[in-house]
Order: sequence, then C-alpha cells, then structure tokens
Amino acid sequence: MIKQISKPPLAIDDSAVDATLVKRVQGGDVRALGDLYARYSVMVQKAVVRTMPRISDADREDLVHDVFLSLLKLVNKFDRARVFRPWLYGVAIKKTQNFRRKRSVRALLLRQRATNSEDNPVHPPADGQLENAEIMEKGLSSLPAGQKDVLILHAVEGFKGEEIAEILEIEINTVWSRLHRARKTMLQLLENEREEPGGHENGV
Amino acid sequence: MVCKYLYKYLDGRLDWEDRRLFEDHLAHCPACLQQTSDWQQILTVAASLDNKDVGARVAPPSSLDVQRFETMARKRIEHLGRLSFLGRPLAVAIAAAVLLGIAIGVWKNEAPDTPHVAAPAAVSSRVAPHKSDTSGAPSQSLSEAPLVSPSATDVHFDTKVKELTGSETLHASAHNGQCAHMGPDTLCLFPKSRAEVMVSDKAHVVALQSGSAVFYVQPNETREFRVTTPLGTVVVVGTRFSVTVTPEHMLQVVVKKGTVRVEGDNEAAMVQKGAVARIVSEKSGIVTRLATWDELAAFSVLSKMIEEVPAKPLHLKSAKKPVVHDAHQLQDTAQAQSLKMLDTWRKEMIAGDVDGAIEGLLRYLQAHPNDVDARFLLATCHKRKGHPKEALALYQQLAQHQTLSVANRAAYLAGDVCIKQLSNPQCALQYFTPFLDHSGRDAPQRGEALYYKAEALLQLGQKKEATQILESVVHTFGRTGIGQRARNRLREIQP
Ligand SMILES: [Zn+2]
Repeated sequence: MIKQISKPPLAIDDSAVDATLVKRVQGGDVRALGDLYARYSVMVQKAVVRTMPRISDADREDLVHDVFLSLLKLVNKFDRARVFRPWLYGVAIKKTQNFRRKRSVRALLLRQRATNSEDNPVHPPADGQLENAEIMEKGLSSLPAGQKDVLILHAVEGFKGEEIAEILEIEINTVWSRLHRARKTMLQLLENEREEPGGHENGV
Repeated sequence: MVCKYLYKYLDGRLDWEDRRLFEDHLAHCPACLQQTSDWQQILTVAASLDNKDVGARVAPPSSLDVQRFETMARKRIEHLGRLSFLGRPLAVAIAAAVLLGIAIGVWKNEAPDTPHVAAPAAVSSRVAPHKSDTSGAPSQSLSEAPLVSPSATDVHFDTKVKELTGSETLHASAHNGQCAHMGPDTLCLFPKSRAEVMVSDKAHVVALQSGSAVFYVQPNETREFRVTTPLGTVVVVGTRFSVTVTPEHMLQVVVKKGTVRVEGDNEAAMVQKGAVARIVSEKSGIVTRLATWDELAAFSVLSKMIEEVPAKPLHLKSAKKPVVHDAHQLQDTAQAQSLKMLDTWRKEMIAGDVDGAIEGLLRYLQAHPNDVDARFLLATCHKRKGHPKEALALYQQLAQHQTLSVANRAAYLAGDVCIKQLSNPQCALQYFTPFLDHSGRDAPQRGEALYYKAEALLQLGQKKEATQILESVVHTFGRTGIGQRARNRLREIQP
C-alpha cells in the first residue's frame, strides 16, 4: 500500500520499558506519554524527515507532536504482544504521508504560478575521481526509494525483516527481495571499482 | 555449496546452528568473506550518509520540550474524553470485523469489598507505579466516575465448561464464575451474575440480568449475536467486549476488539475497540469515551481466562486452513517433510495465524517429542501470543538439553524473554550469564546477550558493572546494530 516510505532512526530497543509506558498511556497517563516522547522523538523526527526530506523545521515539529498525540487514541489499538518501536515508526510514516498528500495538493496550485522544481531532488553527480565511499554514497542515493528504505531500516535502524514488513506494510518476501537487490547493486559497484580502479563508471 | 547462505547470513536470518556453520565457512571462502566485508562497508557508508542527510537535522527534545508536549497532551485528552463514536455505518463495521469476543458485565457501584470487585485504587496501583505523582492527575479526565470494574485477578471460574443448546439459565455463584460454550462462541459469567441464554441457528442471544460476562464470538454473517440488558441491547458486529449492568441500572460496555452496536431506547451507537459506552438511565442517552487501561486490563485477563478454560480448543480461525496432521500420519513422514511442516507453521505464525501454528505444533510434538526445532518454534508462537511464561518454560527445558548448542541457544532466548517480556532482570541474569560463559567469543547473539545483561544489571541498580559491559560491547561490536545501541545506551545513562 505504501510505496515510498522513510527510513528510521536509532533508538534503544528496550521493549520491556516500552511495554510499561504503553500500558500507562493506555490508562491515560500523560507522563508516560511524555516519557515516550522523550525516548522516541528523535526516531520519529528522522522518520518524518526521511519520508519527506523537504519538510520545513516548523512543519516537522508540528508533525512530530501530532504523531505522539495521536498515540492517545491509537495506543488502544496497539497489541502489546508486539514491539512498540517499529509500530511507532509505522505510525510516523503514515502521518507524514498524509501530511505530504495534503500539502502536495496545495503545492500543485502554487506551482502553477511559480514553477519551482520542488520534488526533484538532489545529489548532483560528482565529477572526477571517486573514492570508494563516494562511489557508494552515489550508488546508495541512486537506489530506488523502496530499496533504500528497506536498507536504511535494516542497516541504520536495526529493524528485523518482519518488523520492516510491518512498518512498510509490505510482504516479508518483498522486504528480502528489495534488500537483496540493493545489496547486489551495491556489491557489484564495489566489485567493478576493484576491477577497473580509477574508472568512474557508476553503473547502477 | 554453503555460499548460497551468504545473503541469509547478511540478512541476519540464519538460525543459530546455520550461522555458526556459515561463519566456519567464511574462514575458508575468500569470495564470501570479501562480500561480507564489502557489505559491512556499505552499511557504514549508508549510516553516515543517513546521518548527514537526516541525523544532522534532528535533535533530542529538551526537558522544556517534553513539558510543553505534556501540556498539549493533557488538552488533547480532555478533548478525546468527549469524543463520540456515533453514526458509523453498520455495514462498514461488519466488513471490517475479523475476530470477536465480548465481555459483558454488571458493575456494582457499591463499596468495593465484594470479593469479585476490586477498588479502583488497587487496580491503578497495579498499573502505574508513578502515576500518583503530582502534576495534574491526568488520567482523571478519562475515567470520570469511580465506577468499579470487575477485577479479573481474584475471580475463580469453574473449570467445567457447559455446552449450551437451546434455552438455559446460567447462574454464577457468589464465589465462582461460570463458563459455557454456545457452539463456536464462548461466554464466561462473573460471580454473582445471572443470564438467560438462547442458542439457535439464527441467533445467539444472552439476556444478562445482573452481573458481568465476557464473550468470545466467532464472526458469523448468518447468525446474530446479541446481548440484551435492562437498559439496552448490545449487538455484536465482530468484537470482543464487556458489558456491565449495575443494580442501579447503569449499563457499561467496554470494547476490546472490533465494534459493537449499543442500542438504547432512543438512540444507537457504534462503539469501537478501545472505547466505552455508558447508559446511565433510560433518559440519559449513550455516552462514549475512551476506555481506560484499567478497564481494558480487566478485560484482557478475562480474555485469557476464556482461552484457558475451554476443554476443547477454541477455533478462533475456523476451518479455513486445515492444519490437521494426525499423529499416525506424521509417523511415516520423512524428516524432510517434517521440516516442511515446521516451515509452514512458521509462515502461519508470521502471517498471524499463531493459534493454527500452535495447534499444529502440539499435535506434531505428540508424535515427535524430541524435535528441538518444533519446541523452539512453539516457544516463539507463545511469545507472539503474549504468553512469555509458556515460552520461558519451554526454553527452560531446552536449556537442559545435552547438546551444548541447543542448550546455549535456549539459554539466550530464555534470558531474552525474561528481560524483554517479563521485565525480570534476575531471571535474565540467570540465563544470560551461563550463556555467556558457555558460548564462544564469536558466538552469534553474544553482543545482544551482553547488552541485555547490562540492561538487567542497570535495572538492578548495578550501574558500574553495566557500564563496563556496555563499553565492551561498543568496543567489540563497533558499528553493528548492537554496537550502536550500546553506544546510545551509554550516552543515556551517562549524564
Ligand atoms: Zn562461500
């Protein structure tokens, strides 16, 4: 259902503490919600930024508040046998996507007047001799969004395959196949580099 | 040959023994080793790239931020308290319904000394240790009236489960609750409760005259399930809920799962999961609000009770996926086939049909009591179901296994359950310590075991030792996920 997702942040996977906090939020305990906010604000901020890189700082702040406030209601749907962190990440993505949808309708209207290339990113191609790391950076930024999302969730946020499937609302097999494709591309890139050192064919 | 496991290894989804085998293989296979180290490099670059693009733009909240947020949250709670779930189209709710169970009860507004009723104070002390902190008593706004809910902890249910057909009157004594099956549906009456039950092909109707009851109801499009009370009727749309009727004729419905329709004299309301509906008097109309944790907690214990009580298994998933493997059938199957079945159950479990997987595994284990993999899988299922104690019991047995690798793996998983699900640091240490003693330096999961051992020590107040362990994790596991987590944790505990 969700095609373009974001990538998650680092947080402490401390599910026992989370479970207690969630339980208290379900009882309407604001302080527990405050604790969750303190604990996962960074992760949620990252989820928001990854989902919508061009969001303004003010919008991001509002959205993060909104994610945590929505927990007051959503938390009753949360099955406490599950792990909280990936679930919250998924909530943050969904909220951001809704926000982006609403926003893009307005942006469309605005753009008819001022044509700016809002949605076309980023990363200008680097010239010259590329170091390994630069080659990889370039390769990473040219991965399809779906693959990159899975890669970041796996590598940076340390989510398990099943958790990623849940977050992105995709099949577990899709998680693995995206990860594998990303891996193949990237490994191939390094391999090529080894074969023709100095070459800057960044074939993807 | 083993090379084909490379990606699974990098994914982190080889199981214990296979990982070990593969790591042995790495020592002899330059190709796999090269790719493994390339991959590590890629992960490092991915992390630093992400940090550049994303990490640099975010910041942890200050304590002022948190306070500001809490103020916003209080306002939101007041607003939610007035939320109503009226006017949802019934058809939509029916289509969305999957699994149902209902709890119906009559709650007494009397002094909390009745044996089956717990005082609110007792309930909340069970829930939130520092809830009694000053600062605005936030939960008050959600749970307006001090209505006393049935506390499941001290209630006993008769283990005999009646099978109801036709019309019958159920009467639960002052001390024991009473459970009954109505075909695929199950109901449990609280002590001092009374209901008339009518079972037919077209409808299951429970007239709750007094007291409380919990129901699990199978979704059924052709058969209606309805609970009538003196003040109103509750129609099951596909749900797990509780209904309470007080002697003063107050009706309260708590919905744990799905949606129910509450019909009063002049109006009806769709009540969704996580919500409570009340009818205080004939004239008052239906008031809905969010359920408090106490209310849901009482329910969840009840639900568990229902799952445990029946002599026959509850077929929550009906017969769509036949998981029926007879014992004698299994005896002549080859090992390959049993592996295939284990895989099937694993998939079922991942797909969410944990009950189906458990059922299949239990049958299978009757024929193959020594199958270690099946036991591990069964334990995983129990964890999924939120039954950590059952899982722990299985791991405890497996930790005695004569094969060291099996025993080690079980010890690790036992520790994992203790710390993550049971929040019991002593128990965690009891398993992680021998695991760390008996597994090699390069054993998989060693980093995790160290990390959670440190976590357990922290919870026991042994900060110094915990810090040392975390530092060693950072040192040894560096840029891997667990190394990062240890680094973050250190940052958290050090001012
Ligand atoms: Zn190899």
